[in-house]
Amino acid sequence: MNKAIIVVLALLGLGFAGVVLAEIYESSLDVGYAPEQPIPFSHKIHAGDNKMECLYCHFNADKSRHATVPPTSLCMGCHQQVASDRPLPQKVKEHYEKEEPIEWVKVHHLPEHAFFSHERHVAAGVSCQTCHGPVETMDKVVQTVDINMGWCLDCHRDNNYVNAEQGVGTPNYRTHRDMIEKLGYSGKYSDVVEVKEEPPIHPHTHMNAPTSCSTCHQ
Amino acid sequence: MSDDKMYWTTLEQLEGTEDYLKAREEEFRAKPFEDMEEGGGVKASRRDVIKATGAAAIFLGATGCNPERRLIPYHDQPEETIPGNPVFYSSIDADGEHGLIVTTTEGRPIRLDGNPDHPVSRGKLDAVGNASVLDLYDPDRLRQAVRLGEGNPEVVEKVDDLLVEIGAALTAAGPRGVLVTKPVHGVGQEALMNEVLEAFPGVRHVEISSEIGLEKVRASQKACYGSRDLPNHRYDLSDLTVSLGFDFLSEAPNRSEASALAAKARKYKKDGSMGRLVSFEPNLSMTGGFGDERHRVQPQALPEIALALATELQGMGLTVPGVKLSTSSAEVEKKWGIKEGTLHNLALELSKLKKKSLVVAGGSTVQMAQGDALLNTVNLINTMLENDGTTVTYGKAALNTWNESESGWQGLLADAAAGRIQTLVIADVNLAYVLPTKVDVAGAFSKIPQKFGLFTHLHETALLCQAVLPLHHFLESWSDGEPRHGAHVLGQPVIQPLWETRSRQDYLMGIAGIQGNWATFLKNTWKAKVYNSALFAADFETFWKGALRKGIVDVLEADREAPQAPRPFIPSAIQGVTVEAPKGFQLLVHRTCLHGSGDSMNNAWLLETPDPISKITWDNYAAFSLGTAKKHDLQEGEYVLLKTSAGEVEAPVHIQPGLADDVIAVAMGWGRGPEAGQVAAGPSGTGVGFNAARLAEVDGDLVLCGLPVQWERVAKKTELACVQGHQYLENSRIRATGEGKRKILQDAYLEEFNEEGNEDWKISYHMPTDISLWRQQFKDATTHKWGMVIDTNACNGCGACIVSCQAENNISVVGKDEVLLNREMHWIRIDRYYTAADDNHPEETDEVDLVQQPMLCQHCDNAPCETVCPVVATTHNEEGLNVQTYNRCVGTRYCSNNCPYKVRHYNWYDYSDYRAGLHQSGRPLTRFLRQIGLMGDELKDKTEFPLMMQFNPDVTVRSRGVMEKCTFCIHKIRRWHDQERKLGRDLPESAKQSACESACPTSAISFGNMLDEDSKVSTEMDSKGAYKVLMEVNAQPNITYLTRLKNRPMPPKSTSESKHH
Repeated sequence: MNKAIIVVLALLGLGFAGVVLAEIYESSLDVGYAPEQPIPFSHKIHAGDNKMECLYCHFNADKSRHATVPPTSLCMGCHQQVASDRPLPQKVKEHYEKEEPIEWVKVHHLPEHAFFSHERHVAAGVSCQTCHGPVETMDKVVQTVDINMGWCLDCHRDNNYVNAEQGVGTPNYRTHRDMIEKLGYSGKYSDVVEVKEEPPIHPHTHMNAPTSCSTCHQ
Repeated sequence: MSDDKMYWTTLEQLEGTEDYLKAREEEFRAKPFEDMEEGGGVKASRRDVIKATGAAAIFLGATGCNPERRLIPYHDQPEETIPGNPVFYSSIDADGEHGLIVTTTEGRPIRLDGNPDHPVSRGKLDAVGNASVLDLYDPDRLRQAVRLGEGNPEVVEKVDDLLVEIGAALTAAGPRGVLVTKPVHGVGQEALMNEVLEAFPGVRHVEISSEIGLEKVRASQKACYGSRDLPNHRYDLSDLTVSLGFDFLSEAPNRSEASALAAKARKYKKDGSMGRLVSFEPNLSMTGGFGDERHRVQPQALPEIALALATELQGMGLTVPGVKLSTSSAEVEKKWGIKEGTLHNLALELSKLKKKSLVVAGGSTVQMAQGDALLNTVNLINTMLENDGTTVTYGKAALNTWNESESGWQGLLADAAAGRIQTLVIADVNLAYVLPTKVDVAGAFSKIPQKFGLFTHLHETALLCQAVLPLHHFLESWSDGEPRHGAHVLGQPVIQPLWETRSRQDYLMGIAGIQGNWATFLKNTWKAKVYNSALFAADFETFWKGALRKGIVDVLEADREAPQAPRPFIPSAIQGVTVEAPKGFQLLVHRTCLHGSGDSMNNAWLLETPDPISKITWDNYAAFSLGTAKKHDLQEGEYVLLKTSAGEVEAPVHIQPGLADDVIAVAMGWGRGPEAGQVAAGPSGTGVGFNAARLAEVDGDLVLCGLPVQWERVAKKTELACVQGHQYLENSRIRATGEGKRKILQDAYLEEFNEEGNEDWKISYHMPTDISLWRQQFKDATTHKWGMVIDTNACNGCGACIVSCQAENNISVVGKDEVLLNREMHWIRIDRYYTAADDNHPEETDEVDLVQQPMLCQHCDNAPCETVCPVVATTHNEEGLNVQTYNRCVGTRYCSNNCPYKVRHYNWYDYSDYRAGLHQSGRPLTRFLRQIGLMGDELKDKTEFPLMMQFNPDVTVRSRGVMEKCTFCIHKIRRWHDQERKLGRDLPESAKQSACESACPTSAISFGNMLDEDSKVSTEMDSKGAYKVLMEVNAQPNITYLTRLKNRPMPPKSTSESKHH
């Protein structure tokens, strides 16, 4: 192999590497990312105006690593009756009848090599808005935070869910409000998110947010 | 164990050769990019290559852009499916011998565990079972029905029409029609087979098992007791088991069960007792290595040894009416080179253990002319010792799974060759491969006008058929079985068929024109035959759901366990045998527990799993004893041409201490070739290993043992990819050159272990002061500190843990060439140490004992790896685990360099992109260029659908340039925590098993929380003879080992002058 070719290739490569790195960076740190969705679903109407609970639709969030978007059948559970003549629910109905899933565009990406469990965080009483922002005010979901390791550790270090007055495992919702204030949103937030049934606290369970590497990298 | 006893892993180590010293010093044997000269003579310096790496970014960059990612919801989320959470199903493996718990994520089965309710496998799963999940995703599976003729296979679009055609052909054939299957058991399968046979009056059903030795055992049972039932051996009830050449851990049809029971018997009990296992064998088998005492004998000696033992017992008053024996044990000992008095003493010991002993024979060593005499005499001994009915069970307790047809393949092929078969339907029996090459299967098949196959691959036998229908993998199919009488097991599909395949039963129903489908048929049959046969309180639907959930309905357990009366012995079965001591070399064609009959030769996991004894991967070989090799100046890896009366084959030499002299042992199951698939084809396309069946003779039945063989040198050499000799632990050769004496392992005679005043039997080492560079916090874990106890006395080296770990943790296969460079990725390995069996004669290196020591990350409290990592990629977590952060790792390899246990593995390439490793890619530069995309990579086949479907989503798939190692299954630990939090209580310990522990057939591995005083691991850690490896290093490992015990008379203490320095 000719040395000159190798050098040229290497230079080109470095340039591209920069582009690639920039691309990779964007996926989890892209604050303001608000892609068009195939059906312009409004969280504001559902979660804000009609006060539907997040877990009504994202019902796997307290059971699994993934929060998951709802199956189309769940949309139709309401929209058979509610606003069934409006154009957007009509679109959903089309998908449902054709048994074609709606391909929603993912807004929030985790950085590579990190494992995140919605279940653990919901169980620990972290509100959805802590990470996803005031979704109930958004017509179109927008990424509000840099999802990077430092941001995760901000909570894990400072807000271990140990409250000296209330004991181990009592959810501390300070995080939610602080984060929101820090981010400068002006929506209406209740200080305390209702947790219907507090899970029994198992003595062997770390309610403290651990900070060891294996917490997220396994 | 004396303090200066010598242990060694390889002959190089024993002799202290240059190679060994170099290997010990240099863990990373090949320098990166060293020796990158290609055929063209182009040289690239390391620097050039690094520059080129930059170029690689171009190609990576082209695909590296971040496209819009989609979230695709279910149309309607199925019940019980929660994306991200595994769902478990019970099922059974292909022959019903193992009960399975299948872990599925999002509809993909990703790993198999044993079902604890299964009466045979009892919650354990061997290496083959663990690897079988990969077979489901084998890209080489036959995907559509094909017609074979001249030219390329022609896809059959209308399968149902083909089935009708086959049915018509069978009907027309009548008595000239034959249906060949594996042994059929299970109420559903048997009922179906009956219906199918009713639909074709006159058509014969031939059942052929691929196990060896069974027909001989049946014949011998018939001769001695009048019934062809396969007896079951209760190794667990025997205080003294004598194996006459029977490697039951590898060759018994119920080897998993045998492993568990034999280990149970040999478990050290609180009262100081343990079972004893004595082997007489021609090769160093897993059984011999696992046991307490071995005698190396020529195979032909076995029948005479049996007769001598029986004669001795007769002399001790244990007679059987009508049998009169007169074989002198002294003569037998002299003739076959057995130590004087051995047989007498053994007989004396047996005579004191009536009903509590067991003598066994079987497997490949009975496949010889004198095999019947051997088996009959063994039966006689068991009758003499009243073991019949207690440790040898029959009737309801017999092995029910292998109901072979009496005439078997011999009858079938004779009929075929004589033109007596018009139509043949053969399902899942690969006759053309499993039978010796001498048997002309192709010739016999050519006389059959119409032949149809039901197979998973277009393999050797399939290619002889006119049309082949593709079969389901067992995870796609319904099935049932009855591995023991009354134990009904149920298998359910856990994934939609990947290809246009069907189950064997569905095809048969189609061929026979039976309405409905197999699933319904099975359910209805169970209703009629199982549900109605006993009183179940629940209604049928509830019963059925319960059966599916549990995987088993056992209606006869009590009957099977009931004591049985000894059967009357038929004296005519015993005829005196005298065998000429053979001259020249004897061949033994045996099986290993990993490759068996060669069905899984396309499974890269199994090919890379080291052989339990030789620790060689990716090859079989001709094994010679050390003495023989020295005598003939044979070198490891040199080729010899082996010639028997049946045929000849070229094979690489492996020098195996412990073989009988003048015996050549070769393993079956290899050399499948391209028909079996891309992995089996190997780098050269001609197959991995060589086919030992070419050497086997046929004399009515197979002759695998005691075949006269000639050999001659061939000017050819290969390197056998032996993993032992990689990753030397520091100074693991103790004493040999007077080096340090850091303790790696510990073995003991039972006698000295039980000596008074030695209650602890702790390893004696210089205990370091507890100084530490680390903060105390991790040692002071509050709720959990995970640890493991490994009982080296129970480990037989089978490799189940290795494959189980591989499946669980997405561990890559690296291929033979990379294994040779010390780059295998297994997180757990089983180090095999040899030690001289007689301390007084350590120079007789063919008389060896084995210690198998599973070695994995020790999760040290003072982890040496952590201090040297410049980027803090390896750290401790709050539960005492040493964890590795892949995306932090920059690949300095300092950690591995500093690890005293050598358990860290570096990803030199993107191994996960390759199905069978890089072994097909030639020289290092070629591999490298291919990796960075400068060369086309037609071999990069991981991405070939559907292999990647097996990946465990909970575990990162590692890429090039990072270090990896055992995590103690941290992803499982975190799931257990989630579940415990949800439940508000602890999960039972049985639900918290690491992957290796869950697989281990002998329960040698216990994993658990050391802070829980009642846990198994806490209890076992305190048991006698517990030790830790290399304690002097003060790494404070969290894995405890238990001493390997040898239950045989201790030789008198040696005098000092007999020791060599």
